[in-house]
Amino acid sequence: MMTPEDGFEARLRTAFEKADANITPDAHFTRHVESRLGKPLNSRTMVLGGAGASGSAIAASQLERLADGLQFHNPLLTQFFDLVGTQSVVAIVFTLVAGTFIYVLPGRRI
Amino acid sequence: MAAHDLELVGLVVATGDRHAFGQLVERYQTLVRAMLTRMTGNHALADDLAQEAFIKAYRKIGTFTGKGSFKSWLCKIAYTEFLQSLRKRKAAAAAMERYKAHQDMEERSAKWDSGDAMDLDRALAELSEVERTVIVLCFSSGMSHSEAAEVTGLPLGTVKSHINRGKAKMRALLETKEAVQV
Repeated sequence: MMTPEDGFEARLRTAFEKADANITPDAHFTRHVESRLGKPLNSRTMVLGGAGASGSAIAASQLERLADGLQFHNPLLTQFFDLVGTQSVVAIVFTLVAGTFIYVLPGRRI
Repeated sequence: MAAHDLELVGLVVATGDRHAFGQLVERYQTLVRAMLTRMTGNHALADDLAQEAFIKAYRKIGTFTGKGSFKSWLCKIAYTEFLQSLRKRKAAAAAMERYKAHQDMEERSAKWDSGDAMDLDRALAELSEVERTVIVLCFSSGMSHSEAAEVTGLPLGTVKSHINRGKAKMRALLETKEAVQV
């Protein structure tokens, strides 16, 4: 047998159902959430990017001497280093390393 | 056949599949938006909080152990988002928020052409924060008392007490209004 309390609960549920019926699925809402997924915070990206770039610049300037001492058996590789310059190659490598840090650390999933 | 929540969660955890997460958003957006609309009394604010809740859920999805339901886990994040927003809006802004929420409710009721939502929101506004939360979780989001306890982090007995008190207040408010209308 239904008590007055049960009756009120049923009415309350119906009232919520009626009120919530106005909130319908919104494709724009889903699209907006999806577009924001994986985007790191700007401040975090800037801090990480700045740290990565500074580190790369320091490392590239320090490791130039090390790279100068390298001997390549492959003539193509030797030619490439001569053309681009050791410092540029080292800078490119470290920029790639820094870029990977910026991409991975803020929580992006590959 | 629609994929089970756990299958979609597994896909998101393993591959970061945004489309799989989009399916979860599609599935639960109405529930979360309705819950936050009833809690805040403000449609636009509720949608903003719901977006933040889904984005946090995506970032933290690796922490979902599958012990409880995905729905409870997601509602807990949405509830935390609501509490954080409440703290920010409190103090000096509280009076302005109530005014804005009231205006928003009036606009909505005019747009929806229904008195039910407005009466309900007005009655909910008379409850304490925690009473409103557990009433919304149980009667709007369809949660059990145990699930509401899990979402709010309150003991089960406390949840039941708040529900009883909230229900009694709403009953008094809604039935008084009916008596006046008759």
